[in-house]
Amino acid sequence: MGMGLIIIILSAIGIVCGILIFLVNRFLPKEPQSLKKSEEISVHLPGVNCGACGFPGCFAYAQALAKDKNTFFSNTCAPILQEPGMLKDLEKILDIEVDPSKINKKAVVRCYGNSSVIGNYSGIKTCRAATELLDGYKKCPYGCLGLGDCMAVCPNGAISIDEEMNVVVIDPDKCTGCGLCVKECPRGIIQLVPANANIVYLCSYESLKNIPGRERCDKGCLHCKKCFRACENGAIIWNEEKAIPEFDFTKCTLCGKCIEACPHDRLIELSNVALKEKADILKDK
Amino acid sequence: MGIVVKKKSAFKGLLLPENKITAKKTTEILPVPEKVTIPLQQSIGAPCEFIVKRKDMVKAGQKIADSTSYVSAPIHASISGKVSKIVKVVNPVTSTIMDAVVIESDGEERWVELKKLFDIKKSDDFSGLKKIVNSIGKKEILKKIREAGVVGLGGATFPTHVKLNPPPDKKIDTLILNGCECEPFITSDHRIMLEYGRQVLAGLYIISRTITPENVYIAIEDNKEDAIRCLEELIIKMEFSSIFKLVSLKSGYPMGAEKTLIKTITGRSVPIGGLPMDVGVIVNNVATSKSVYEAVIESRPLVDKVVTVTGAIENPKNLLARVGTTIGYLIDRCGEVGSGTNYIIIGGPMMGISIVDTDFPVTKGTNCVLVKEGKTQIEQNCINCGRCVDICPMKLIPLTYVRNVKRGNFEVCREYYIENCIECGSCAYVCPANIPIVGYIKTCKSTIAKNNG
Repeated sequence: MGMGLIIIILSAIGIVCGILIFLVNRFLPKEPQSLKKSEEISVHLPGVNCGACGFPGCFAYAQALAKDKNTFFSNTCAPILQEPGMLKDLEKILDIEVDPSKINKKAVVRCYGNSSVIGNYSGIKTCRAATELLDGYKKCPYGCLGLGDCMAVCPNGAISIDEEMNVVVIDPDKCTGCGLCVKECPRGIIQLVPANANIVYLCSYESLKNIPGRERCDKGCLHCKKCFRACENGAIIWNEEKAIPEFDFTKCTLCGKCIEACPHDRLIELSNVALKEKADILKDK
Repeated sequence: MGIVVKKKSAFKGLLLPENKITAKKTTEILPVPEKVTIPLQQSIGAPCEFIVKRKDMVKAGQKIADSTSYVSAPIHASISGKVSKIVKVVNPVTSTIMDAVVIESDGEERWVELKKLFDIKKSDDFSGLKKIVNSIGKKEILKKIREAGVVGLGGATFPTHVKLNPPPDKKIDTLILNGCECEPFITSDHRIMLEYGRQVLAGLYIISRTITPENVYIAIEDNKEDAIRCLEELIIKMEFSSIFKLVSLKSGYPMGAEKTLIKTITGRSVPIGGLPMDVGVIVNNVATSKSVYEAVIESRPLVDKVVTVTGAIENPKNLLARVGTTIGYLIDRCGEVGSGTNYIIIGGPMMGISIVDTDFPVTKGTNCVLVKEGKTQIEQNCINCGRCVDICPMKLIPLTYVRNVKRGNFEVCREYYIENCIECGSCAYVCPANIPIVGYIKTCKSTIAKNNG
C-alpha cells in the first residue's frame, strides 16, 4: 500500500514538473539574442583579460560590443590591433572598419633616466610609496623613479628596468598600447603616442614646478626652444603653459634637425619605426 | 604627598630602550642664526598668506603671514632683519611643496613691544597671577592665543584656539595635560616640565579657564620621576592642588598618543574618525601649555621651540631654537656626527621622518632631531604571525593593510578602519619579517586622500 502511494506521489510531481518545463519553454521569451552574439564575439577577442578596454575581462567587453559596436572606438581593445588576422574576423562580425595604424598606440616613458638624486632611498620599493612619502628621491619632480610599478601591471612583459640608467624601458615591439602603465605611474610621465610616431621626446619637466634644492636634472629640457625654431615643417608645437615641445607627427619629414639643435644628447630621438623607415630609404639608395 | 595617582596602561604597551641621554642636560639657548627659513604652513588647516614683501625690515615677533580662515594660525618672524627672498621648500612630513620666507638677520635682535602682565620667574605672588587670569575674558584669551600663533606642539600642530573653542553641543568635562613623552631619545617635554614648570602650570590654569572642565589631569610617565616631583612641589606651592590631579602612568609605548592616553585615564574610547572632544576630553601638550602662558600673559608669539638633538653625535643637547633655524645649524652646534651615521630624523625613532636635506628648517612641530646609524633591512614576506595585531594599541589589524596596499586595493583598507591608525610604529617594530608597515599605511592614507580630492 505504502509503496504504491509513494510511486503515485512521485510520478505526480514528475508530471507536474514536466508540464511546467514545457510551458516555460513554449511561452517564455527565448534566450536573449545579445547573449548569443556576445558569445560569438568573445571567440574572436584575444582572451587575455587584460582589462585595458575598461571592462572586467574579454566577455564583459564582448557584451558591451554586442550592445553597441561603436564601443570599439571609444574603448579600443589594444591587443587585437597587433593581430591583423583576428582583427579582420572581428571586423566581419561587428560590421565595422578599423584602420589599426590610426588608433594603434604605444607607451613611452618620458624620462631620459639617470637624473640626479637627493639622497639614498631605502624605503618601500614601489614608486607609489616613494612618491607619497618623500615626493620621490630624485631632484627632478618628473624623474622616473625606476622602481617598476608599471612593470608589475604590464600584461605583456614589455617593460624592463634599465639598472644602469635607473629608468624603466618599454619595448615598443611588445607594447600593445593598453595604457595600464599610464594609469599606474604616480608621477604621470608615461604617455601614449601613436604607434607610427617617428620622434620620441624624453623629458616631462615643466618649468613651472621649480623647487630649490631639487631644481632640475642636468639632462633634462632647458626650455630653450631650439628644436621649435629648427623645425622647418611646423611639426613642433611649443606648449607655452608647460614650456615643452609637442610633436605633430603627420608633418614630420624625419629631417632630424631638431635632434641636432637640441643641446642635450638623446633628449629627442627617432623612434624605432622611424629608424626602420630610414634604413629602408638608405637601402633603396 | 598623596596628590599623585598611579595608573596602569589600558593597552599592551611596547617596552622600548629609552635612550634618553639628554634628560639631565639643561636647555641651552641657541645663538641667533644668520638667516632663518620660515615655511608658511606650519599647522593643520589653511596655509597662510604673506603680509610682508621682499626687502621689508621685520622685527622679531612681528606677524609675517596670516590667513582669514578660522582653522589656521598666523606665523611670526623669529629674528629681526630683512626679508631677503621667498622660496619653495618640500615638507618632508606631508611631501607637499610650500612657500617659505627667508629672513636675513641684522644681528640686533630688535623685538616687537611685548606687554608683560606678570613676571613668573621672579615673583611668587601666585594669587596675583590667578587674579590677572580671571580678569581676562574667555574670548580675549582665545584671541591672544590665535594672535600668537600657538598650535599643538605634541606633533599634530592643530591650532590651539580652535581646540579650546569646541562647538557648543560638545560638553568638555576633562582636560589632560600630556607630559608622557613616550618616544625614546626625546627629552624636550621633560626639560620643559623641569625648567618651565611654573609657566606650564600657569598655562594649564589659563586653558582650564577657557573650557571650565570638571577634572584636570597632568599625565606623566613614571620614568620621569624628577618631573613628577618637581610639578608636585610646584602645584602645592602655587595652590593648584584642589583643581589639578597629577597622574603617574606606567611607561609603555605609545602612552603619549592622544587616544591611548584618554583610554587610560578616563576609560573612554574616541569614536572612529572622531576627535577627543567627541568624548568630552581635550588633551594638550606641556609645550603648548607653556606657549599659551607666554601668549596670554607675556603676549609673546610662538617663535622658539625646545628641540632635542640626540643620537650618534658628540654632544647631545636640548636647544631652545628659533623657528626657521636650519636642522644643519642645530647639528653643527652639537659637535661632530659619529662615523657611519646615515639617517637624520625629525621626531623620534618610532614616528619620526628621515630627511635628506639638512637645509630644512625647524618648524613649530619639530621637537627632536635624531642622528642615527641605520641598517638597511630586507623586507620579507608576511608570515601571518599576528604580532602586529597583538601589539596594536588601537586594536587594528595592520597585516591586512600591507596585503591590500601591495595589491593596490586602497579602498578595502577603509573597511578595516585605516583612518583610526595613529601611525605609532609599534607594528613595524615588532614585525619579524622587517615589513615597514607604517610606510604602507601612510602610502594608503595619502593615496585615499588624493583619490577623494
